[in-house]
Amino acid sequence: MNKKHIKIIEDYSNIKGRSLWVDARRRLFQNKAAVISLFLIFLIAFLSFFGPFFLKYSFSDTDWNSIYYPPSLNNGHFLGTDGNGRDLLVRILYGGRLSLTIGILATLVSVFIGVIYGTIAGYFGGKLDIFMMRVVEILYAMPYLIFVILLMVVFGRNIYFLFIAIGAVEWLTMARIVRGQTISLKEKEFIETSKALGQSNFMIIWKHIIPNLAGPIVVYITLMVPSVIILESFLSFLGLGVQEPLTSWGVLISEGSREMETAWWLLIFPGIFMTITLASLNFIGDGLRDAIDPKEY
Amino acid sequence: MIKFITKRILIAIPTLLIIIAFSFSMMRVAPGGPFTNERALPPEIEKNINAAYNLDKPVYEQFYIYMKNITRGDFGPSFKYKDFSVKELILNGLPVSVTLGLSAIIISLFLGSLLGIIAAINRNTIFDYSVMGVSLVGICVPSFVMAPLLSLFFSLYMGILPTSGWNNGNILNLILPITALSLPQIAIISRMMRASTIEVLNSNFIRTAKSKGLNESYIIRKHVIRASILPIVEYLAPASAGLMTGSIIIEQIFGLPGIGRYFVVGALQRDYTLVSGVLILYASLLILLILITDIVRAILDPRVKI
Repeated sequence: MNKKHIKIIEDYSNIKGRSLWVDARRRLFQNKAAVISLFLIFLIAFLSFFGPFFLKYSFSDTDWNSIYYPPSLNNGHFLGTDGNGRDLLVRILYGGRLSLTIGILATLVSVFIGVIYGTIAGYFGGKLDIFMMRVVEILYAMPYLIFVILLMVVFGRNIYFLFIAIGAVEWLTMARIVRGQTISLKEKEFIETSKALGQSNFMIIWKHIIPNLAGPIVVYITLMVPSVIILESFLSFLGLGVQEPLTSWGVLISEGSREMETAWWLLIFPGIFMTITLASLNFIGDGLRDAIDPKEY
Repeated sequence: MIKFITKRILIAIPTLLIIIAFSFSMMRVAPGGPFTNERALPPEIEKNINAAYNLDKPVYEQFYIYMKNITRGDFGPSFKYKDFSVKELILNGLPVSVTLGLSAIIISLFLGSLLGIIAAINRNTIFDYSVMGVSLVGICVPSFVMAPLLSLFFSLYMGILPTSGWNNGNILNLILPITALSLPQIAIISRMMRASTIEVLNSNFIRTAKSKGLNESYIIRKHVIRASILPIVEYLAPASAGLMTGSIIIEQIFGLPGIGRYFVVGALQRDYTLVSGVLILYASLLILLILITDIVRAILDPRVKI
């Protein structure tokens, strides 16, 4: 081995390996739609959580001098006011806070249920799997929105219950995805090695299966948050979700659609905020899916 | 084939039973009965009411009565609409909802697949981009934003279509609700159809057909569509579920007296029998649709073993 060879080896040892996640991040940042969407989502989330501190009005303040005041830069009601003289911009931001929070929390509830259910069904297999998947199939046949409404009717209209109810019906697809992945994972050598070393089933699921499911889970989370936000707005629109004076995008759109003849801005602006959020989340989800699992496309 | 169908039906029946049992038990554990008022009723009246609605019997007996009645199509009396039974209310709303839902599903299937196929054939042209762009809007703008916007534009601004009302099924009154209901589905179906058509166009049997010298339109009619429509057939059941829930909102916005509206009113007023009646109706429709979907798919796809 002469000096030249040693040099080559040293050079190679300086090169860092690229992990799956580094690769995925690189692919994600090459996707323009996803990058713009990421920016928009962070902007909307930031504004929703911190914006209200910098505005003159609070979400329940009534300004009796400006009722149904159209959007203007004159008196601080940048997006106008509603029929009670409440500032629309602040209410949209507050609504965004609630909609995003419910979206994320309900998604986490459903991911939690779905991952546990799916890994157990997939890992143990056999009759248990058949039984558990039959249950999922039965629940799939339920018109699930109607099911959520039923839950809301029974347990009262309470926002804490709202995201549990939503989470409780949204886990089905997650469970299916996780089960499928678990079945293919459990045949891999490293799982067999763990078994041979006497690792308990629980630890194998926790330490080896769930970390390897991270990709599909992350993708699915970004795609589920928008659908949960729609679901919440849908319920609020019907008067079954969030109650006054609290507000969410669904409540605002519902109010706006009743008053659109006199005040178009009450419908248009919440609609724009919501549409941008939903579109961005969908783009991010698609981008992540392409980035993490490029072979599919 | 008969064996396959009976097997699917044997799965569908317990599903329906479980849903009925579930909605029944949900209604029983619900706090606050339908007669809970601020002012307490005199005990003897309360007793009479409870006896009239069988609420004084043990739960399993109530369930037995309920099941027995459902098999005869009787969902019991509505708790809130005093002089109506749930059956009457549902029958009242059914024509409206069926007209709405059926036309929406036919329109979205037809337009969605047509646009998808044309976009796939003219891939990466202006037409393709504009269809995909519009369908993106259709997916991202939720129906409860789209519907008021449509009525704002066409009814209040242009003044060419009525804002709301059923008006005995006048076609002008139906245009906006059906459009609002089918837009998201058209969007989803056209995207699915485009993707699956592109996949089929690249497959070997299409190349064989082309090399045999068949003309383009024949290939598309006889070979491409049959294969590329499969994902759409599979999507039929979720699409119908989406239309059912969508119609709840649409009926509300356009003031149509369909089942969806009764359902919302029932839910807001805790009309237990009405809500569970509608739930069971929707669930059985959905189960029926899944059944039909399975059978149609088996007929279309030669690979599915019957």
